Parts: sequence; structure tokens; C-alpha cells
Amino acid sequence: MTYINLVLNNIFNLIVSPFKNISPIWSLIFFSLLVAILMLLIFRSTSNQTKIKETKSKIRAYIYELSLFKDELGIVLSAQKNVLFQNLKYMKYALKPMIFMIIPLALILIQLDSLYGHKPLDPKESTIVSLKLSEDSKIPDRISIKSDGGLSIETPPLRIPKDNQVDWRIKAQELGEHNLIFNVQDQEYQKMVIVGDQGIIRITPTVSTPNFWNNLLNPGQKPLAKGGLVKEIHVDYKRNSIGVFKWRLDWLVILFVLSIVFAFSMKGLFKVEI
Amino acid sequence: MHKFARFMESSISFKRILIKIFFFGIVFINLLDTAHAYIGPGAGFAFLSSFFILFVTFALAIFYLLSWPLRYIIKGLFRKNRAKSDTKKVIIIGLDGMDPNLAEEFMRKGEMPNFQKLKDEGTFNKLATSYPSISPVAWSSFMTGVDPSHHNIFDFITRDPCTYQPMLTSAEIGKASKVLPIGKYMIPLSKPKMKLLRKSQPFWKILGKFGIFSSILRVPITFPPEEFNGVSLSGMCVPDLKGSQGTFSHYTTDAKRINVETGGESRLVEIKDDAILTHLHGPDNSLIKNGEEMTLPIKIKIDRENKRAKIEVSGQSFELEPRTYSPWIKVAFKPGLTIKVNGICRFYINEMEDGFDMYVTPINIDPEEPALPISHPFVYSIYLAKLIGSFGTLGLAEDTWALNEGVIDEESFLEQSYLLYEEREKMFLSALEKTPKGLCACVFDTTDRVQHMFFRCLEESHPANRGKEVEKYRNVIEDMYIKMDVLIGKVIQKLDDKTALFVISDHGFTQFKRGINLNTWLFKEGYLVLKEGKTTSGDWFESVDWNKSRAFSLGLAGIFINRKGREISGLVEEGQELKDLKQELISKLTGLIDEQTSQVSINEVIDTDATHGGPYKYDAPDLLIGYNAGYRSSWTCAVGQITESVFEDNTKHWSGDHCVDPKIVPGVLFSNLKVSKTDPHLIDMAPTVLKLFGINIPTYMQGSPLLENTRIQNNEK
Repeated sequence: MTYINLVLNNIFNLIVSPFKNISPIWSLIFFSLLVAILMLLIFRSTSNQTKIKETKSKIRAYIYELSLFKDELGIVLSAQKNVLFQNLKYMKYALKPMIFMIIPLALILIQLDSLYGHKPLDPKESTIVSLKLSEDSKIPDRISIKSDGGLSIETPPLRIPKDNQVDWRIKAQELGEHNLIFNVQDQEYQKMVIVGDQGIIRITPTVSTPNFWNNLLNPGQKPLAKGGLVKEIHVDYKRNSIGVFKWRLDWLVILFVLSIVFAFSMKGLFKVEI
Repeated sequence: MHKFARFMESSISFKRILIKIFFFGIVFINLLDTAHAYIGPGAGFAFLSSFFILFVTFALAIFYLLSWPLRYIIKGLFRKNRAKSDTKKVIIIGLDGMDPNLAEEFMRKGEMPNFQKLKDEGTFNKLATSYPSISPVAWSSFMTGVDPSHHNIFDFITRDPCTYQPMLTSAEIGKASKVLPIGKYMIPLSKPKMKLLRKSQPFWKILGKFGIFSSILRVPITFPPEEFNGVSLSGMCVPDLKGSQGTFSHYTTDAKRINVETGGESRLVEIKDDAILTHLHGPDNSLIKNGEEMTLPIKIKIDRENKRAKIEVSGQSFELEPRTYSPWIKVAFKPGLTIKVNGICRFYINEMEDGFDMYVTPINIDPEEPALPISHPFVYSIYLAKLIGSFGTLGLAEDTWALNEGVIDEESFLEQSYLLYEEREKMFLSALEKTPKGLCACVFDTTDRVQHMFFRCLEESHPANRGKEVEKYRNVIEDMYIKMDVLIGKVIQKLDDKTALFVISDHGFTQFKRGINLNTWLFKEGYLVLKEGKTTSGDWFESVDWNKSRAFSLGLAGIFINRKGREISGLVEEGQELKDLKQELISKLTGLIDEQTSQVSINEVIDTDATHGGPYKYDAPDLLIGYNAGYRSSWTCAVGQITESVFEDNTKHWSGDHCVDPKIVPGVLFSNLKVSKTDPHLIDMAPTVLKLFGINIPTYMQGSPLLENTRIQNNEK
């Protein structure tokens, strides 16, 4: 998975590089376009296009029926029933391509979430850093944290035995990528913290011990060493939002709307029945 | 079996893989931090569309349900009152050309149990037809309840009195009256001119005024569609995309087969590396000044190993085996300015092994994206196409000329006819369901076209049998009547005691063995004069001297007098001269003997003016010809030719006809009701339906109700 992440990270970094210093909405529009094209291609090749076309035609026919025979209550109700039935059929035909879309789309979404999902710390902004120990370990007495610069530690460790967790509050002091260095019973762990004010920056809030899911879901940073005392380190970045006209929206909402708009407008070009 | 088991096994294992992927995916998605809410446009397509559709339909349904009482009240305020009626629904099935004698024969043989049931429990009678007994005339009389002089349809074509050239009697289709010339383009600013030339009004328009809903399918002479309370799909006389009444395309590598004269265009093609490049010819480009015919490239790749061809046309690609019809293929011609003119056609490969030979049906107006309105309301054809799939829209959709010209054979003609029949049966049965009360009428053309093309097989000595198979097709007509019986059976099952069923035909059928060229006869008798030195004339009176001609024939109905003040070069004065000339022609033509057979070829000649009282008789043929059985206006006469001989054998596949003395070819009348009138006529149908629904019969109608009382009283009686 590490290699897959490496490849994907590079690809996405490459795609995003021309948009680095402009508003993230532009790169998101571009990604929406790519996602739409990819999904159209998958939809076309994995769905039963004939059946989908037939079902959609029937749905439209029954909608016409509602107005053509509007004075016949029986026909209006029967058309309504038929629309519902055909709709279920349509959803059945859309299920197979959806299954094929899940994996590539999940990989894309994880990548995009690491690019757009979280806001780097602003200078002078405070946040909580949590260190979670592995289940069979108790919180040791000797546990410390320090920064290699650019961050200050505001509080002593707060031990939460119930969760096997230790928290600190840190404060961003300077722009840049800084490391927090944890010492847990002489074992050293590092977690990168990003302090920035503009542009698209890849952020991985959580770093954890290596396993398939952890590696998959946290593509931006190398996992922690296996067999250590620490299971997970998490920096509590704020969720990011992107400005669109007057509103600020989550990237996922923008991608959802735009990819659907692009897909519907390009379905003729790609000859896809959706 | 082994293959099947293997297929099932592989399909099951594929399904298992799919299920695993699905569950894996679901788990996967649920583990995601932010993406759990979104699984991409795939889900977006499916779920957004579904919810949108459900929302819209639910909203519409609620709106229609809630507004129903209000609409009911408003309609009630404007609706005309009618008498109380026991009839909830009237079904009329028109089987064009169904012959009472053949029906009787097949019933006697026990092959038509459903027709027999109607005969036993209700009515079977001959139904007198119109004069002339031609479908557009007869169906117009059926729907209006009047004779041709009141509805203005005397034939398929008439002459333009200004040019003596043919024009359609039923509709006038022209270009937009206002155009904006921009560069090479002529941008239409108004709708193209479309006018129905049939006068009077169909009885379903009257029903509508009394709040009765009608579903009218493919009744001839309903194009362009008229507004009324109901839905209609136009039938006979709907043009193809080229504006003609059906122009097929033929592509062949055999130079000897490029001999199509009528009904289509033949093109020589060449095979290079097992591929053929040619064009599909569409309508003229009306968006450009003097616009030429639009074409679409066709690429055909022959796969000899698998005995099929891959055809690419209008952005689509499909495979076709020889002697199989393709489904309806959508084709879009692009005149410019992003406008598309949509049509549909079927492809049929006759031969692929030794050379290549392919037939393409006339390009029908696409019912899903109609270039011209072919239904009322406009969306009705779209609705039908979405409900039952694409269907042929051309008025004369069964390609009789392709068979006449030898481009397709009997088998492929029959296959085409029954493919069209199935489409119509589907739409009719659907319309029956959608018309729980009111009128549902549908005309099936299959009966007419199949009889036209196979009537020769009922008489060994028919001249059209020369060089053609007879035995193989002897039962084609019988089989078709049996098929119609099955249709009637399906309808009978849906009847209740408040539904009246009428199965009618516009005329019957007889043999067409000999053609009479009236123009040649008129020429030989000195009534029609050719230009100096000419003894024959090509199509459309090419060599006729109109300044000296007194009479001529065009179409199938009869003879026009070159009348002064009506025709542009008319020379026969109104009054006594006209009267004398008509009398002279009537006496000479009545009982005209065919010397080759010694038979009377013309039973009677009718003076239209003397026998008809309607306002449209002035422009009609002045004399209507009642041909004897076996005779008809010849093919050459119908298109205004003058040939060497008056009589000629009819050797075409089109071997049966009905354009004869109407007394010879009455239609049929079947009903589940007992009809009291002993001599029913087509024009009685309109008053009958009006009476069944308790509506007073308008005084202009010439027919009278077939039933004395209302339905339930009639049954009691």
C-alpha cells in the first residue's frame, strides 16, 4: 500500500502543481472534470446500457402518461406505480457500475481529502495533539514532547488513562513544515505539523502503526514503526472549506455537484446512457 | 447442455465476485473518514435521477389528483350536454381492405373463431364503401359521416389546375413562409406550412365537445394532426423524411439490378477489401438556398467468416446478418446551425456472398424526435416510442414498391409487414388500456398491403403469376386473416356489457389483372391531344397539348374535364358543352370491352356533379369510373402517361385491388351488437358512435345510425 500511496501521491501532486498558488476551487473543478470522465468511462463499460436506456424511456413514458391521461385517476395512479417500479429497476441497473466505481473513487477521494480536507495551522493558532498508546501498554511516566522549531508546547501532558491517550496543546509560531518529536520511554516518534496560510497543502492529521487500512486512509505520511509503544498520533487540524461566490463549502460537496454536472453534460460526448 | 452448465457456472462465479466486491466496497467506504457520504457520480446518476423522477412524478400525480375536481367542474361548465347513455366505451378496429367474401370463407372453414363469435352473437354484414372505393376516400367518409364531395378527398392525388401536375389531396406541406437570409442560410422565422386538406370534421372532434375522450391510432387522412379531446397518431399520408410517400434505398454491386423505376433509388456500390463506402440519402437541405440532398456516410464491413456485416451510419455501429431486418436505426441529418433532422430506418442485406445487395427502408420520421408533428398532442408519438420502442411512422409503411421493383422478395416483404403489425398491435392494446371510457379506434394497414401483394396467389391464371412462385404463398392471405382473428380474440376478452366493438374495413378486395389506360383511350378517341408528332407521352402528361385537350385522367378515381375557368388552359365551356361532353364519355366508356378477354372492363361511369351535392365537387374528377372486377386504372395511366395500347396485363406483385365499382368491393362490419340496419354504409359509423354516446347527430351527416336504440335496449331486444 505504501508504494501505491507513493505513486498516487506523486500523480496527484503533479496534477495539482499548476494550481498550487491559485484558489483551490480551480483545481477542484479540474479534479471534478477528471472524476466525471473516469466515472463515465467506468459506467459505460460496466453497465447494461441497453437496459438502462429502455428503463429510462419507460420512466419518461409514464411521466408523459401522467399528463396525457390526467383526467383518468386510475391511469394517473397506475403511471405513478409504474414510475416507482421502473425507478427501482433503474437503480438495480446502476448498482453494478457503482460497485466497479467504489475502489477507484475511494482512492481518489482519500487523495483529495488529504489535499483539501484540512486547513493547515495558522501562525499563532493552537491545537491539540493526541498520542495514543497501543492497547497492551499503560501510559508510562516518562513521556515528553518537543518541537524542532516553529511550534511551541503550551501545556504539560494530559493523561487520559481510560483511552490510553496523552494530549498536549501546541501553538504554531512560524510558517512551514515542523516536526513534533515524542519521547515515550526512550522510544522516539515524529509527527509532521503544517503551518501555512495559502495554497493547496497536503495534510495528514493522523499517523499510525502500519496496516492496510491505516496506510490507505493516511497516504500523506509514512506510518509509525511497527511494534512500538505508540499506536497513533493525531493533530487536530480544522476541517477546510472552500469559497464559492458568497459561500464556503466542503470540498466534497463541490466535487459531488461539479462531477455530476460535468458527467451529465458530457454523457453525449462519451455516448453514455446514465 | 454442457456448455450451458459451464456458462451458468461462470456466470454464478462472476456474480459471487461481484457480490464480494460490493461488500468489500461497502466496508471500505464506511471506513473512510469523509467519503462515506459520496460514492461518486455513479451513485449521483442513479440516486439523484431516481429521487428527482420520484419527486416530479409524485408532485405531478398530487397536482392532477388535487386539481381533478376543479378541472371536472370547469370542463362541466363548458361541456355540451348529451343524453344519458349506457355506453361507456366504443372500440373500432379498422382492418383496411378486409374482404367480406374471404372472411366468410375462412369463418366457414372454422379458422376465425373470434370473428365467428361476433357473427353469431352480434353482427356480420357487408359494409358499403365510398365512391371511389379508395382508402383515403373511404376512411374520410368513415370519420366525417359524409361523401367525398363534402370532405374533399376523392383520391390519393389530384392535379394542380395551374400546372396539370400531381399534388396530394390530403395535405399541403410547404416551407416556412417567413425566412431570414443570413449568408448561405435561410433561417425559418415561422413554422413550415402544413395544412390538412380534408374538410368537414371527424366525429371524435364532436365527441370531445361533449367531454368524451378518444384515442385514435393510424386512421388515414389524419395528417397533419388535428386538435381534439384525446390523443391521435396519424396514419396513411404521413410522409417520410424526404417528404415523399416512401422512398427506399437500394445498394448493389450488380449493375443489372440498378433498374428501380418507382418508389426508391438504386445505387451501384463497389467492394474494396471487404468494405463498402456509400451514402444514405436524406431530405433536401431547406436551411440553405437551393439546398441539395443531405447525405450520411455508410460504411459496411463484410465479415465473410461469420457471415455478417458491420454497418456504421450516423455515429452508430451494428452488426447485421443477411436476410434479417435490423432494428430501427436512428439517423440524424445535419443541415447546419446545430439543427438535426431525425429519422429512423431499417437495413436488410439481401446478398453478401456473391457480391453485395442491401435494401434500406424509407427514412421514417422518428416518433421520438419528430421532424414534423405526427400526433396530437405533439408528445403522444414521443410517449408511444418511449413506451413500446421505436415504430414506423410512414403512412404507407409496408414497402410495396420495394417488392414490386424486385428489391426485396416476398419473404422479406412479409417480415417487414408483420414487424410493423406487431408495433401497431402493441400501441393499440396500450391505447385500449388507457381509454377506460370513450372511443378507441385503430386502423391496421397490414390487411390491405398483404392482399395487394399476394392476391395473385388466389387465382392461378393471374398475369402477375408469370415467373413468380404461387404455391408457396397461396396461404399468405388466409394466414393473415387468422392473425387478425387472434387480435380480435384479445379485444373480445376486454369487452364488458357497456362496451361496443365494431370491426370494419373500408373496402373489400378483388383481382387486378388488367390495367386500363384511360389517357390512351382519350387520346385515341381524340379527347386528349399530344404535341405535334408525338404518339405517346411520358409521366405527368409530358407531351400533352393542353390547349387542344378536353379530358384527361390522373390517379385512380376517374377523368377530369379540361374546364374553362378551372384548369389554366381549360377549353370546355361550362354548361351545355360540358354536359354533352360528359354524357358522350359516359356512353362510350360504360361497358367498354377488353378485346383480349372479351370482358366488360367498365361497369359504370358516374357524373360527379349529378350524383354528389357537396361543396367540394367542383374540383373533383368530373367522371368517376366503376371498373369491373379484374380491372383498374393502369399503372401508366395513374401517372399521366399515354401508351400505345389501352389495355395491358398487370404483371406486378401488386396484384389485388379495390379501385373498382364500389358495389364489387364492400367492406366488412362485425360487431358485438346486433345491428338493425340491413344495408350499412361506412358513412353510418359516425352517426352510430354519436348515438351510442347519446349525442344528437348533426344534420350535415349523410349516414344514419346502425342501431335503433341504445346498446342495453338493443341487447334486450
